[in-house]
Amino acid sequence: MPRSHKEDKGSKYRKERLDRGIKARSDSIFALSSYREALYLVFPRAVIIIGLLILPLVLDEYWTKVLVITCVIAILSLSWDFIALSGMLSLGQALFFGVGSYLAGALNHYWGVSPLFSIPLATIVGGALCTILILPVLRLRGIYFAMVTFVLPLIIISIIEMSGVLGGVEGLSALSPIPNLWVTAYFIIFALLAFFFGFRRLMDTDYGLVLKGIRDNDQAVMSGGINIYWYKAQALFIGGAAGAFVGAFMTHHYRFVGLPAFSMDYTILPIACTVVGGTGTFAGAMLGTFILMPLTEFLRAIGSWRVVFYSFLMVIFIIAVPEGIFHFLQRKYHQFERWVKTE
Amino acid sequence: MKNRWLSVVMGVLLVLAFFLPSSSLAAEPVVIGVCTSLGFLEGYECKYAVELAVEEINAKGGVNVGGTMRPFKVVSSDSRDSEPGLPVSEALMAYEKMLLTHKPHAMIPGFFTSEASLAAMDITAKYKIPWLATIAMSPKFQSKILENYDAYKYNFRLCYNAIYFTKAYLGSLKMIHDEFGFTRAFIINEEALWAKAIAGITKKWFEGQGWTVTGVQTYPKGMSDFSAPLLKMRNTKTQVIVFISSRPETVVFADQWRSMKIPALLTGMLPPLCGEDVWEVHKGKVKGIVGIVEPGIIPVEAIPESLKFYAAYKKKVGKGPGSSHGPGPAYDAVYILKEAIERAGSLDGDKLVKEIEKTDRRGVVGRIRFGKDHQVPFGTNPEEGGLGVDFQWQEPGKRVIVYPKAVAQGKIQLPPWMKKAK
Amino acid sequence: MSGMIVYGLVNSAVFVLMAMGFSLTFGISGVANFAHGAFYVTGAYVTWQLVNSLGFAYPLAIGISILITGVFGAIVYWIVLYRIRGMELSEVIATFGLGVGMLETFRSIGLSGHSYKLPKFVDGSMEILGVYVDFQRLIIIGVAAALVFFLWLFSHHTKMGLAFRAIAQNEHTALTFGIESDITAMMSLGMGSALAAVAASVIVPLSLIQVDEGKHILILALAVGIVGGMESVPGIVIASLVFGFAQIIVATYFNPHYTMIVMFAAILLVLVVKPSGLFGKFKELEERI
Repeated sequence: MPRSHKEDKGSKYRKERLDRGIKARSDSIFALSSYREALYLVFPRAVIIIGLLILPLVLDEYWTKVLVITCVIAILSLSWDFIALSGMLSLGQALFFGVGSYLAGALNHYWGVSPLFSIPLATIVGGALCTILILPVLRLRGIYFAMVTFVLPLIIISIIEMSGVLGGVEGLSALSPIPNLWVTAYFIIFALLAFFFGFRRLMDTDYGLVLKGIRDNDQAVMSGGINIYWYKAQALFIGGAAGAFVGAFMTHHYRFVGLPAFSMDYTILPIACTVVGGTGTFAGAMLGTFILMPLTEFLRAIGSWRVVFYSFLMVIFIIAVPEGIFHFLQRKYHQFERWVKTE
Repeated sequence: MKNRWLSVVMGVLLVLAFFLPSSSLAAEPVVIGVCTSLGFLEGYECKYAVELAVEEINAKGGVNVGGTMRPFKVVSSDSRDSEPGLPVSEALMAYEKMLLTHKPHAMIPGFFTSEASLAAMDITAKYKIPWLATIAMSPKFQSKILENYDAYKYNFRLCYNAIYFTKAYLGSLKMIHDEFGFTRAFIINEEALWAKAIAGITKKWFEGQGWTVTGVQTYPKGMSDFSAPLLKMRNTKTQVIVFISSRPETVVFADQWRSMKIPALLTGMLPPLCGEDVWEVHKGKVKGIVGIVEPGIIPVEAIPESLKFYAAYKKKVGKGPGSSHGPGPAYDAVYILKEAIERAGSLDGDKLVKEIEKTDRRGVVGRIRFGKDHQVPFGTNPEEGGLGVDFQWQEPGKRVIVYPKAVAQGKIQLPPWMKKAK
Repeated sequence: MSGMIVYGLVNSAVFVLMAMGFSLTFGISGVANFAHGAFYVTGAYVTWQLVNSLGFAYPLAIGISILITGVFGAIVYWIVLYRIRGMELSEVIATFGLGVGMLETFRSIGLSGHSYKLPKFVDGSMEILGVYVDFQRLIIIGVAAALVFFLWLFSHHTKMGLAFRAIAQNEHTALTFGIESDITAMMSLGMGSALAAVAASVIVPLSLIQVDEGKHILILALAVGIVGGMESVPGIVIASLVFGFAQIIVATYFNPHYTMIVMFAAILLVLVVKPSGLFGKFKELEERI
């Protein structure tokens, strides 16, 4: 009896992919019949949570700073993914980031509001402001929407440069810091975990279903009597608020806000990370970020070739591996493959 | 099979990315860190200048640190801080990475932009190494040092800052007034902090001296057509144009000034048009433009060190420096560091700072000694301090020094389509 | 006053040249080529290399560079966009990433500084209506006018041009006529890139080859396209005239500072009032969802 398909050259074989037994029972209905099954579900999530919580303890100061930035970009990626899941393609993550940054900076600089309040305030107001700015183009097709989100940060840069408000070209500096590195690191880690699991949960509810429906076929949703513009605006608000949150956070982390808050980097990085990791599932965004960011940090030695590297990587992934790395891993975890003899 | 391979590779990459040990160098050489915008003219030319000095010193045996002769070593990384849209934090990360990986004993020439330089002062205070700046020009550097000496004493600046630079420039304007009787000027500057500051100071000076300022305009980045301001200058019978910008638009402006035959003398802070090869590249079209540079960029006979530097730099790089300031002081900075180390007998940051403060030597830009604010004062006498020289591009492609009088080689010639006011 | 008219025309011509390539590609194949600016810089750089490193004659170098850039654009389509045609998200990300990657590659290989300069075609200037204009700028007006004329001729009187318009109007019907949409899209991307190189050849001699210009061009092309209507040539021309003169007026009577603001304000205004642009026709129905 041939032991594997390789040995038996006579017959034809095909590859069969089956869900693991556990998955059939545990995918979304949690009727688990053993601890092993519970572990199966919990394990990936536990790895993320525990891993993130341990890292600041293990890494030195420089790499902890890198970790903080990675988390920030991760949240931006999650926000991008969320907006994309609602059917909108945003090329303007920098907009959310910049608006949140400046709001927190202004609150702190002109009115002396402490980070404890400026960050939440900037998050909410920032999200609202960005939504209002983008509102006029919500009705337009994806391309126009993308163009406008692309152009908006540049407009704001021009206005600030020109009028010199909010510190103008110089920016606002000497802002209140966040107490120390530990607080910073754990704060952002908790925020990241909250956003990650929060977004996933949100997408699993009926609300999320509507958003996904809008992405798939908005006219069908419209014919169901649902006002898609209102939902889109909400999705934009949520995603925008997440972006504003990290912007405000970074302002206090660096104690400085300036024109670079609107830089293209904050738009490209999240998209590259999400594309590499896999769009549509937030885990993909996280994975992509945690692969790409340390990689580019490690490649700092090669200077501006870094940007070339991750933009071309983004292009390659979107053509060749459009589903991203995460889907591949997920498949491995949830399914097993075997060769089956065909008749 | 293939898929398993893929996951293994990815896993390894992930782990490596976090835990790869950073390389560290042997402690033997004295390390000079060059962390600046290496992609930009001033950045890489300062690097060449530093390397030039290091080569010369090492050829003579190195630097004597408390009895042992040790060589200098230059490590460099590109902070890209002059790129538009690059967050200052990125530049700071590059700086910190260099500090952690290479453990430099001093930083020369410092960041390109003032924004990054100011932000870096806190990091320097933490690591306690001397930071000898020769590119960024904001006087805020000085005020911070005066405010908090203990934290910021590690910072020094060897090139001119915006204030001294402007003084040198204003001196030349006065000379133009005395010589030609001009009284109408137009100021146009780029959208940058230092440019606006200089524009403001210049405007006040003009008004104080009784000139008529026919306009003060700021132009946005990427402007490709200056016909509107140029026509305005012509219509208001402007006689002197003050153009302040370090960006490529300078080239466009100069070009249009020439082709539109605007009857005014083009002067200002125009680094893109000051380098040695500019005449050739632009095929002589920069004739008549008056610019400012520090000695060393142009050989100044009255300062023999500048002649030496110019010749050595040209030999090493193949052509003279193309920036308007930076390389000369960077070269000097290495020597100053060497002398301070030898006087202090150690590499300890605090001791070095004390010795650097005592510096009094003749350098490429004039006499180098530091004021209380760790800035080299610049004036019109190379025996007293540093010098900023004004020059004009004249046939057959020479930069003729026209100011200050102590080192002048020639007089200003008006563009052929212009008439004297007297 | 006369100065304003002349230079207003010059500026409008610059806008036309920059925007035409982008809107051609978008209008025909629906592909928003976010790498348009990168192709512009590529065209200039290739010309520079041919002249300086290989010693070609200047006019020949320009011609070859336009050809190379056009072919490069077509190849980009074939490699990158072919597989993801129709998936807007992927298209935008791919071209965007490509554009950024290309521009940063140029930056990393050291494309900065004065040595990267293209000489003007003709030196000197002449007096028109009491104001001096340099010849290069007059050439720009000439080239822009010629381009508009050529495009009109092309799209109304040549087989390929008519095929382009057919695909733009209604892809499925065009397919039934045997007009292959993929080949047409490839051609349109090639032409768009070639046009970018043409624009680069006449405009870059005014200053230097700069990497940042690439981003700037993209924004301008977007602005003109959005305001004028992506796929209509008259729309582009009108929008360019509007922008060109608006810039001059603002620069003369106010501060040159505000010129960008005017442009952006125009974009937002148009998007709110008439999203398909002043003259855009075809996409109007699909606009509002």
